[in-house]
Amino acid sequence: MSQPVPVDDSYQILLVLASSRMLKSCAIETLRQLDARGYSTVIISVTLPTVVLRKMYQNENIDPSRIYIIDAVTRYSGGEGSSTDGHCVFISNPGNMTDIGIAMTETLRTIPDGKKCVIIDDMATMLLYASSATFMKFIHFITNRLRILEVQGILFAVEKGLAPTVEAQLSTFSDRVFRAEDT
Amino acid sequence: MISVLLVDEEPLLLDITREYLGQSGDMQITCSESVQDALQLLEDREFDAIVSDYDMPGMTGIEFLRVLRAKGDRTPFIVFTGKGREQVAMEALNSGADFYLQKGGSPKAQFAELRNMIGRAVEKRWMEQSLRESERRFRETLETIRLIAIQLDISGAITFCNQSLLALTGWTREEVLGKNWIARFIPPKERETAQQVFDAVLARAQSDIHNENRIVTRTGEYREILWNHTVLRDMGGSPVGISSLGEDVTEKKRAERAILESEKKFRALFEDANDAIFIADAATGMLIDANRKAQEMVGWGLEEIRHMHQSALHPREDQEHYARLFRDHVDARSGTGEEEVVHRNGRRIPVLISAKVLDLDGRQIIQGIFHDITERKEAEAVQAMLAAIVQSSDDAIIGEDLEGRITSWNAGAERIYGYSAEEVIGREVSELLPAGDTSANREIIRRIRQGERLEQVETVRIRKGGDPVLISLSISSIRDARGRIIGIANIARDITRERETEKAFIMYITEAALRLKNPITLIGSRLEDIEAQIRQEQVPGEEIRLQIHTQVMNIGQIIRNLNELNQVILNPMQDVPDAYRKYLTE
Repeated sequence: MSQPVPVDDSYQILLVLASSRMLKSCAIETLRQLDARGYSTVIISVTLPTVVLRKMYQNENIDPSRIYIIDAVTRYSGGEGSSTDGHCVFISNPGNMTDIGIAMTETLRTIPDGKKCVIIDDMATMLLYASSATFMKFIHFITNRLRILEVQGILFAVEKGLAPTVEAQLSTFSDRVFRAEDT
Repeated sequence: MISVLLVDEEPLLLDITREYLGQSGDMQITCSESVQDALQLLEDREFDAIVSDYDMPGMTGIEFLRVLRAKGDRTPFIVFTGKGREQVAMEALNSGADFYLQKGGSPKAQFAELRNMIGRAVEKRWMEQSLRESERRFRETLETIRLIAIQLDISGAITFCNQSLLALTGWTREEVLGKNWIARFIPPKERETAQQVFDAVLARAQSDIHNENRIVTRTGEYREILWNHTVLRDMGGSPVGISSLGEDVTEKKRAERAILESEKKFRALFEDANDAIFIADAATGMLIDANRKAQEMVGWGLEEIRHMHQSALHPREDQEHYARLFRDHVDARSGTGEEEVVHRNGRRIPVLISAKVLDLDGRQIIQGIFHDITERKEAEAVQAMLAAIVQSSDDAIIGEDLEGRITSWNAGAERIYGYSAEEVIGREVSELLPAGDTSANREIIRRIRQGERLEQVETVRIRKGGDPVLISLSISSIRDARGRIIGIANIARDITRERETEKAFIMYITEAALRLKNPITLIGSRLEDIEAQIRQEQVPGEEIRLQIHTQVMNIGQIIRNLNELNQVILNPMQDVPDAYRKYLTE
């Protein structure tokens, strides 16, 4: 286990760095806290398909009603990728950041007023599908957008999965950096 | 005609004698009846012979004879008397009479005898006169000739010497005549040899004998004399002395020795010369002589060379050129040029030939001094090769003098700095330095002058147009043959691309790690998670497949990323072989 990711109003953009083994549990724990604090959460998933995520939330007793998924995995992996509940948008490719950005804006608009948070489940995986420059432009866009919309953002990344320059730039876009460590 | 004076007190006998002696017509007879008359006649004229009676009034025939001889008159004298005494005959002959004839007996036989005696006495007298005249003339000749002339008796005493000897030796005639030749003139250590020569000359039968020895002058100077000796003999053929003619050959010998010495020196110089020297007949081109170095150069012995034509020294295929060259040298009487000779084994040797035509005893010869320039040629070839290497080097190689002025500028420098050689030769090398950095160059010059060498310093220079260029610079001194520092060599390599490549590789390695190692670690972690889900049987098969496929897609993306990265890195690199490029990017 690790120290829980801080979920509070002390930041708007939080960069969370965790080992690959801890990344998933860290994300689940963060979601649990957000759920507990009444947040509506938009998850940009580049690691797990929606069906797996939902089953996972179910297993972890997390209310899925305030969770919105922007799924960049299912279709790319040959899955069906269709949703009727309006809580999920499927993106064709994890590298299609324009669509991801649009989907995020659109999704946030559909969410009722209240505390909102956007999670990117793994920026290192995103970097597989985009160059550092494109990725940084995307993050720059996302973080600015979130600040304008006054939406909190928690950006997960596998520790040591980012180039030092990328990590440094991400730090400048973030209000705070949290390093999840085994306790 | 023989003139005869008859002296007798008896007129009858005078007539008879005149009658008999005058019959043949070859004698003119004058008669005198007394010695006084005869002496009176002899005051006025000479006679070839005198025939005198012994017993005459006032003065005997012997006394008459003695008077004549005392006066030096050597006229043949025959005593013709009736006195048949042996004592008279002896007295007459001892007093210088040539013959004695006793009156009496057959007149015909007696006068025939007298006539015979007169003929023999006159003939003898004439011979003596002739001999004396000859000797006088000979001595006169000896006096006037420039040769030394001496006559010695058999004891070695000097009986004659000419003026040349006196002039040469500084002695007077009185100090010389009668003195022993060897004691007076021969140096002490050579006297024994001189005596042996003298004895041998006297003992030899032939008349002309030559030898050479030294004489010493009054002042102690030595003179070398070449002698020609003639043995003097009396009427009986016995040696009575030596007549010698000598030529003072001192100067000639000195000159000969000087020439010999000079020739020796020349020969030594010729033989020991460091260069090959060939001598050829200018007219025919045939080789006459060659020194030791020349023989070594071509590998032929002197005797072989002496049967060779000069053209045989040179490459066969260039015979026309060398024939023309030889003619040109002969016509111009000298010439120089770089040519080739061929060793006996076929090896070609580059030489610098200096040819000069000389006149020797009416014959034109040509002397060729062949200086082997193999080492120089090799050095030139090495230098040319080094110059070509420098010129074709990609590195900028700049020579500068100790004042920092550019003296040489290769093509690499032109490429790296953008200036042509014409633009920068003579300008200061510090002009290539960034502004404000010129003091560093002065410091470099100071250190190089102290013999230091600067290796592989990374620095910046300014190209034509003002752009900076990153270079790796080595600076060292340029020394002359005696090791003195005469300049500075700057060798610069443009390392811009090298640095860019390094950067690209660092980026590549970093990116490769990010895009390969870390994602794969991530994928591994997710696969473990999927494995756990399968084990717990919590997830349907389709979801498992979806998750696995996601990771497969991730892996595919990793590979595409890697290829893309390779493409970015490899594209600007022209020197990557196609096979590798294809392998890395497909």
